[in-house]
Amino acid sequence: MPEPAPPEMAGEAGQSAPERPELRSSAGIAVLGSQVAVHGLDLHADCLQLGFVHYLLFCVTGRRFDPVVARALEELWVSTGYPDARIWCNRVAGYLGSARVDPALALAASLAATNSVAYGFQALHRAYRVQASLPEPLREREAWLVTVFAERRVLYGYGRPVHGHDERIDVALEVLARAGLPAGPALRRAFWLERRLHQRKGLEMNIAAVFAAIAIDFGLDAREFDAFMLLELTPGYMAVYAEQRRRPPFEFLRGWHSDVGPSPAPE
Amino acid sequence: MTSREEWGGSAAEARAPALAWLARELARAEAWDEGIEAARNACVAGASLAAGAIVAAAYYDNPLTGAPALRECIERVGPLPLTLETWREALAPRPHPAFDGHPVSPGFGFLGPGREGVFFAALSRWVERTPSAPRSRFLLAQRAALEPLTGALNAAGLAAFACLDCGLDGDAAERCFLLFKLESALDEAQKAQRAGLRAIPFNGIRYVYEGTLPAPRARDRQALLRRLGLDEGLDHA
Repeated sequence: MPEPAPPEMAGEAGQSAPERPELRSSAGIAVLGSQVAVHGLDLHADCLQLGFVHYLLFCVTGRRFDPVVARALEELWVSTGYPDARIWCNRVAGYLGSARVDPALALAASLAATNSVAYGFQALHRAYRVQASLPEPLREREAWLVTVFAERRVLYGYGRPVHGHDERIDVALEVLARAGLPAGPALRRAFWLERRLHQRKGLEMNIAAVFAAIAIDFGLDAREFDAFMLLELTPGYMAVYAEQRRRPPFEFLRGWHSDVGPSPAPE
Repeated sequence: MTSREEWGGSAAEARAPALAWLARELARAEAWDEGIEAARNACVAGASLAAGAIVAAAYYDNPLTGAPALRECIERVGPLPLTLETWREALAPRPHPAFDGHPVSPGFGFLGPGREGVFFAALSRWVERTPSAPRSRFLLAQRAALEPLTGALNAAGLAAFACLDCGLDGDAAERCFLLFKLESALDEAQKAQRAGLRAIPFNGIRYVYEGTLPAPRARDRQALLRRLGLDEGLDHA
């Protein structure tokens, strides 16, 4: 058990100490110089063997996962850390590496850029909502889809702006198969929806649908999913950032301008 | 006197038109740099404007043309008498850790080809409109002697000289510089947000991969689907 917090110190004679604000937490405590507790476990005794991704999962959820599940999630993360400087959030890292911005600011900036709708965290969040809204009974699911078509709703997790076929899906399936993890009900529903959308609109699913469905099958709720997935693209950012740090400064796409409309007229 | 106090009262009022001029100069398209593109990228896939602000603020914290360079320029130039030798000594390039130890003069250099005169021209406009701009006037008068040593004036340098002439300290100058640079960056980020991904297409640049490309590994989707129980028969389960 962590040491009790030090007692309130009395002030000078006749004076009471100013009241300290109270902060309640069950996530953890750092008893500096002694030990650290995380969701009731001893960080330095109980958590070191978890691996970083499992530890993050534990911090986010407060639950320990089957190591096979945690490892599968880690492999899914690895499978989507693309170090291609053309990807929009990686370009941010490239510009910042080229300008010699400190890596922490570059990482924060790349993460912020990834909080986007077409791809990235907002797309993942919306894909989760789609998967979570799919009813399990087939008849209800069919009715749900009729409504979706009637309302012309965008189904995040299906379709991909640049290339219709998402190469990560086969990898994700292989990760699950190699781990001996059978598809859960959410993943089965996700593929059911893909078949329907493919028949009707020629759309394929993208990895956001697969990640969301797997997360649901693994018991992550929407908030846990949002918080857990944040670092999955970090290797890609940092690969581009680090390379640009090695190249001459300001070389990254120097002088290239995207077409977003007219520039302000000179005064 | 703190910088906050300096901003108060009539001094701030007197300074306002000068700082508004600096903001307009830094917002001119010819003064833009890759920070603008970084901010556009931040929002092109639909992230909120806050992402553009974070990216632009990070970019303009860069040590070579950003706020740190501005501050260092102010520190070096601020206390100098107007003599060429002291300026040559103060502005002489020094090894910079962010540039692998290569020498750098803060506020100078790192401009793209053909843009070397952009900020000197802006400084000339500044001197024309500002009766009391002793450091800027001195830099322009001694440009022929100093530019070969320092390189061309850049955006951080322009802001440093204008802020020094206005009597701003490093803290106030840094705030101004970041806010003024963010103004254009955020404007462009919003344009990119509206334009969407077609504005910055994935394949819109010629990408030359210089590394090794392993042979692709084929995976049998149907076999994997069967193995996981995701094959067609599930539709009727």
